[in-house]
Amino acid sequence: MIIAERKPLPEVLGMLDDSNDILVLGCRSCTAICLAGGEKEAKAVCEAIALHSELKGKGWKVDTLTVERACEKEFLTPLLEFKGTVVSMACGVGAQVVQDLNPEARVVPGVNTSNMGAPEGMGVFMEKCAGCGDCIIHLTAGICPIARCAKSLLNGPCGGSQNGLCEVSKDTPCAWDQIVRSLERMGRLDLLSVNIPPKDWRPSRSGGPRRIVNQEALPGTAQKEWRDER
Amino acid sequence: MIVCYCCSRSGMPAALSALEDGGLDDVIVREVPCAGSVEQWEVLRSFRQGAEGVLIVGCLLENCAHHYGSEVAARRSVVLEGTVRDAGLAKGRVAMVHLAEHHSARFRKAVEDMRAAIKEQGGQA
Repeated sequence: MIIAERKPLPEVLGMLDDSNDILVLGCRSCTAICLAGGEKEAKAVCEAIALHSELKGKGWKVDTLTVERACEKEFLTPLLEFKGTVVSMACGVGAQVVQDLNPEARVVPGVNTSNMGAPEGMGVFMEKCAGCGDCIIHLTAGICPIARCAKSLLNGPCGGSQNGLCEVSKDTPCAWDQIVRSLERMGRLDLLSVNIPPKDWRPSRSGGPRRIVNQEALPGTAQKEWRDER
Repeated sequence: MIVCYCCSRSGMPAALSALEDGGLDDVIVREVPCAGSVEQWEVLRSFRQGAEGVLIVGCLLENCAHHYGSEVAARRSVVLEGTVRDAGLAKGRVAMVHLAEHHSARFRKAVEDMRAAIKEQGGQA
């Protein structure tokens, strides 16, 4: 899932100066799980903005709405007619889909979108995938060295690996230490001698925004006609 | 006006006992199943509804009827204090009190402390 964290309130308030109608948009998917932009958080931000407006006499009309997934247009129909400012508590993807769908509205971010990761424990979220587009975790015991090694090494560990920890932080396990130990546990240390060719970075970010097309899901002529998409 | 979110196991009996003794006319008590169940938006809405201070009254740490609800509430009250200040109110308008059901004096003291802080900042409490 996508991990995000709430922006500080003063930063959000600073984006709303020329606003009148404000809608705080929560998302029940990723940002709800990482406790940054779900229904509860959207309601809290809505109340905080409304409180600020009342204390400072701004006269803002503030409301909140939480959708199932802000990155899918189907769930955003209640926003089609909205013309004011949307404070998006969804990730950067959701915020942009809202803006695409409703160009009349002004979308401002209520969260900082950080990475693709998973909950590590209560309130702790760790990056797990860098979306490099060329997955090799079948060779690395299901641990991604691109996202979880500070240097994204494919032939680690480096000299900064000490007692299983990365030199970058005492809270960060060394990904290559984990890989070697996991392979040892699995009895698959032989995978370490598999020759991995130089990584193909073309499917990564270097080629600009990536576009994935699923040929099976792509509508044909008849389907387009039936859906009135000409 | 001070709004107190009181845990039904500890805060509520203490608050009722303190209210019986009088002198707390500016206090509104809201019973909650656990202090940890009080959401940020509820506290912020209380300020919009006219509260000048909010007390979250939960069990003593390590004696919480819901194991860690009181701990959650304490951390949340710190976050809320910052949010309320960011929104434009003075500091000290949100506080957490840990007590047992017979600690009505501690409840009264917490209310009086908050009342004094609000008056010092120019509010009416």
